[in-house]
Amino acid sequence: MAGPSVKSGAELIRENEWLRARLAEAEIKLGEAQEVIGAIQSGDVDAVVVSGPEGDQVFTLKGAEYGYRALVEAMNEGAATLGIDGTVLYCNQRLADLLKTPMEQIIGSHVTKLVTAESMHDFEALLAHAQSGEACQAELDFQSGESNRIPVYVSLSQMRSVEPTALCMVASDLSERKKRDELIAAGKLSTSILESAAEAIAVCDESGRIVLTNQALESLCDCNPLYQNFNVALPLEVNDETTEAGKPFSIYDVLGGRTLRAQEVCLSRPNGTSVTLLLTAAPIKDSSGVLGCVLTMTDITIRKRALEAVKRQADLLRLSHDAILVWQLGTSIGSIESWNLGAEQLYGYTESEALGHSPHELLKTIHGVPWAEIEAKLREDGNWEGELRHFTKDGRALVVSARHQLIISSDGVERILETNRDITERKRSEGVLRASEARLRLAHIAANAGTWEWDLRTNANFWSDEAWKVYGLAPGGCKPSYEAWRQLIHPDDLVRVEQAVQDAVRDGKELIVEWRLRDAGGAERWLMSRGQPVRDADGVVASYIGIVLDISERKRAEEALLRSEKLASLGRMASTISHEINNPLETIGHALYLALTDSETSETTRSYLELAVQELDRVTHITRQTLAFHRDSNAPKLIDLRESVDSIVKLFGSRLKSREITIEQRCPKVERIQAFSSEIQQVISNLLSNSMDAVPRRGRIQLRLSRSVGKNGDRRVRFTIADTGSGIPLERQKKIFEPFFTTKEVVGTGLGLWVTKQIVEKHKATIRVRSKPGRGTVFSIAFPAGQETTQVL
Amino acid sequence: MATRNARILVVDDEAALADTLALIFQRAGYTATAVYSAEDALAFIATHRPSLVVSDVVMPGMNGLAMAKNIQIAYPNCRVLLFSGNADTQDLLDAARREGHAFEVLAKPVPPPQMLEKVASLLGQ
Repeated sequence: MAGPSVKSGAELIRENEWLRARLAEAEIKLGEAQEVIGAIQSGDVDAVVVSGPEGDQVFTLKGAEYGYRALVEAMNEGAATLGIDGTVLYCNQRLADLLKTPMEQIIGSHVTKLVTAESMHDFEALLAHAQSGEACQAELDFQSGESNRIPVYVSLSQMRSVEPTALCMVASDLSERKKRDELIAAGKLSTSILESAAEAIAVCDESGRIVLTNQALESLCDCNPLYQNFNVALPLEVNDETTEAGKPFSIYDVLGGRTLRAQEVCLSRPNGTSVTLLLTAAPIKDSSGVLGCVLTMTDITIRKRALEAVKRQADLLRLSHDAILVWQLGTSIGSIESWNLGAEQLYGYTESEALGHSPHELLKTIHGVPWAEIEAKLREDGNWEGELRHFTKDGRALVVSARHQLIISSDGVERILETNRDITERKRSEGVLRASEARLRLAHIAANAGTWEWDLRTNANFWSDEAWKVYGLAPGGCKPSYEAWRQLIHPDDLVRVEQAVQDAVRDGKELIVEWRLRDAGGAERWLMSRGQPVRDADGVVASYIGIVLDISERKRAEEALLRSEKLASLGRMASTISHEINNPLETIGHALYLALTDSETSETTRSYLELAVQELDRVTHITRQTLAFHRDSNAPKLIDLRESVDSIVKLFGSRLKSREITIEQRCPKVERIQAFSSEIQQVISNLLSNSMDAVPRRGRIQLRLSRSVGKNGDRRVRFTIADTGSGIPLERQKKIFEPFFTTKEVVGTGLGLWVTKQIVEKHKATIRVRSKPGRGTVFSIAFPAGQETTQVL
Repeated sequence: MATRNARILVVDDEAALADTLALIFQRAGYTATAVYSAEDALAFIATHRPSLVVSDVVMPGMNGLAMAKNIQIAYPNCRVLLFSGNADTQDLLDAARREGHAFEVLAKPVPPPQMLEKVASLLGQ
């Protein structure tokens, strides 16, 4: 080897240095390479960026993670690595495809840019959870661009093996699945609709073949009607009462374009039963024509039967003779909701006239008991029965037997079911019954009447027990005969009674006669005898049969009525007559006075004139007593009774003298009384006049004034008139003060003592009578003593 | 005594009654005139101014009570005495009293002595 070229030492040193530098570089490079390799080995480096002639190139390292990497790339889900703050650090191709966005645009931007505004809220929550260490998932919408919405299922979790902490996001595309789900759901929904429908539903094609059914339809047909012709599978008959009764239904009508709504049809089942259906059918059309039709059928058999039952019941109600109404119990007593035929017929109001009105107003109900009581019973027992009075439309009154039932519906509305039966006739006949009962009772009373028979040939009488009683005799006490009967009659009535009997017998007519018992033991008894003639075979009146009744009560009532009528008419007369009489009396008085005071009148003439004056005064007093119920215009005054007595005694002077009656006056000074002077005079005059009539010739009359004390210790002045006359029988004493009671048959008016009593009572005084027949009579009047200061009477 | 010359007017539709009463008054010393209607009475009173009018109540035309009321209003110094045969008069009088008029009434037939006594007392004797 030659060699030659010997290099100089300097050259060798430079070479040495260059080699050392090179070595140093190589050492550095080696160190770097070792570092890289070490990094690669440790997995810290996944990719190497090499600058080359074509620029930078990224070489991903196929390491032990190659399997994972391939997996991540190959999987169908979009995946991304997010920094803890949400920045996308890495994403796989799938995500980019999903978002239709290049990978480079995704990487480095914030993950929220991928989320739609609507889903943002949910995504942020998701992010927050993941950031705090919780893995979570949610369904969200991602967006690509502005408007593309991509439904995704997002899952976020923390990546444990990476420092600093990063998040792993996996997004599954739901678009497809959603579409599928919707389809399925739609399918499910329609299926479920079909199936759950109670109605039988059939869809037919354009030839009438059933292509879609549901459970209800199948049960209707008892078979599977699918693909059968509708008319065959379901032979329906139209049931409408209005027109096409009993006509068979054809599917071709519907396919021809006709729509049916709620048509009642009837299906005869194979097993012989029939079903009533409500059919609705419509064709399905599109632009090309009729594609088919849909039919819905509702089974209304049960409902129809129920309706028919109700209708029958309603008919029963309607036709019932009883009036049946239903009305609401409300704030204003009720309004009628139901009104049957019976109610129409009973009350005369038609249903339309009655509905809505208050039954109480319509029928003018009269309740026997207060409505409040009826309502109370209704609430307690639920029903009430009783009688009511109603009025028909044309105003007739009815009596009804009513039954009320309270019905409370579930919504709390209270109604009354009222059933009324007309019992007017019954009531009327009850009324008739009562009348006949009354008559019966009357007959009983009549039974208290005595019955009698009078044989005209023998004059024998038969008297029933009651008759004996009525006659006031002991039964069997004597032999009953016409004669015996005559003996019973009051002498005053005898003539009249006999005449009546004679007239009746002569004419063969009914005998009616009223008479008094001769001896009634104190009280007067009036009887009525009434008899019918009985003819024998030859038509001749052979006997009389009849009754005898005690009619005293009636007589007394009649007398009282007569008295009051007399009084009334008398009052009417008084006014007219008094004026007529008093004027002439006045003029006579004037004339007599003028004659008396004429100086040329002789003594004899004078005495006659004085007599005339006295008689005139008497006439005046009579008229005053009977006609002039006059009242003094003056107020009552304190009068001295002595003066009153004196003036009356003077008045009666001549009469007393002519009858030789002795007058005894014992009139000491007593208190004056508050009285109307003329009226007191009237009283004294009346009593004196009566006494004079009672007393025999040369009898005695005593007039007395005295003091007395009343029951309450009050001071009284007593006027007494006593006579030795014939006296008044006890039973008459009670009656003497009654108007029109008189014993003076020709002269008496029966008013004197009555007027006296009126005047006495007006003066707040009392009058009493004591009498013994044959001994005499005493009248006594007690006046309240007048105060010496004026007093109002 | 001046009062004895007092003029009395007698009013009654029955002439005999009125005339005889006037005569009675004249015999007693009064000046007395008789008229037969209330209307005539009022005319007389207007011209003659009697001290007392004695009048019937029930008369055709104006009755004595209406006349009396008129007198009381128009001639307060003239006294009025009524006499009547009619029982109903009392009601009329009560009605008049309620109106504020008070009249005395004697009941016919009035005995002449009683009438004279009454008249004397009314004329203040």
